[in-house]
Amino acid sequence: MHLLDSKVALCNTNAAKDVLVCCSISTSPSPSTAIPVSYLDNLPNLPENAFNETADTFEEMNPVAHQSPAISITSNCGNITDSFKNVSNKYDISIADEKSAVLKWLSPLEPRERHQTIGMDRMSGVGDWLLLTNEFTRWNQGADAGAKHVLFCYGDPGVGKTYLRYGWQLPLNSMDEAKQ
Amino acid sequence: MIDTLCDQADASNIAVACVYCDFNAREQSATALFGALLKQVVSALEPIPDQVQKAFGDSKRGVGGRRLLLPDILKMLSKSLSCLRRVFICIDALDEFPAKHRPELWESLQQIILKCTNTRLFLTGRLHIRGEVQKYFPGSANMLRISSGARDIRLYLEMKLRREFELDAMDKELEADILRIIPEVVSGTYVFSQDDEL
Repeated sequence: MHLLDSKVALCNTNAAKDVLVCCSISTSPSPSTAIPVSYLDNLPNLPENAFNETADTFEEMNPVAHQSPAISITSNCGNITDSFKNVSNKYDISIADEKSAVLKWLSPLEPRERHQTIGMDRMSGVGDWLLLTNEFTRWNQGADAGAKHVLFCYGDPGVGKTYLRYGWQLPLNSMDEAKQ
Repeated sequence: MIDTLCDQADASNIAVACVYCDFNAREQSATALFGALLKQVVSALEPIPDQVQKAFGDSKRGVGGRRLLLPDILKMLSKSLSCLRRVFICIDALDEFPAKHRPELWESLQQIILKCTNTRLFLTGRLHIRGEVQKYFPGSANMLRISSGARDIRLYLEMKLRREFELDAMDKELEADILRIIPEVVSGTYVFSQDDEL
């Protein structure tokens, strides 16, 4: 869910302060996109109740941020700015609001929230062995043609299937090699 | 697992979508599950695919806002997936997905894999699900048995010992015994939720 093409676009935009505010509100699963709260200081002077009035918009926006920090950062940037506009003009529906409306319509479920809860209880290093198996490597890196597309991990209740977590990072070029 | 795939996704045009099945979930159907997957894939796409945008527009015209049906979701999902270089779909605890809806789930997954060869499925479940996976994905599924290896258990115990025990209640001998005996005894059947009672 992280298409990070837009990741680089984060840093230098004029709207940077909006972007940053957004990130610190959401619980970003990726440390590289986590922004220090101190950036909140960069907020323009807002009326005291600005956040309250836009609270609904924040609520709607968060799920998007959970799922796709990288992409939603760009879209939320618009979302926040436009949310302020909405305070004075409730009929101004932005493109970003439209996207979160579409996403909400597609499904009310929020699997990313569960993922983050589980992530907090996990211990890194446990389960690393799986990443080193031939089964995983072939499944992950194999070319599309003739690949085994399914990897099924089975085991008794409580052995930790849900909690498999791997600190091991795949070499970034491995995907490209696989494609050739 | 999902985090590793996401790290990988940082590199390029790759998406990861995940769902956790749960006995206690309010609504467990193939429609809900694929809706959640579609939502994640679409959230990663910019702009929203035309087809999705159009369906959303159409739904607003329907009385009370029409919900999507499974065939529509699958069509949109295939279309969205094909915009990406590789997509990882992770579904956890398939045994907790209602048995009566599972055939529909399997058939939908088959359809996705057939249409979008850039998709990889990561599935977990108990042993009895294995037969179903073999039935629906003959020759295209890798099977891996997961058990808590002694190494993993030792790692976990070491962390617990470091963090949770009062210093004077613990001595080297007891610590050594814990690290030796527990992994031997529970290896393969260790239940994570029992760890607090150690």
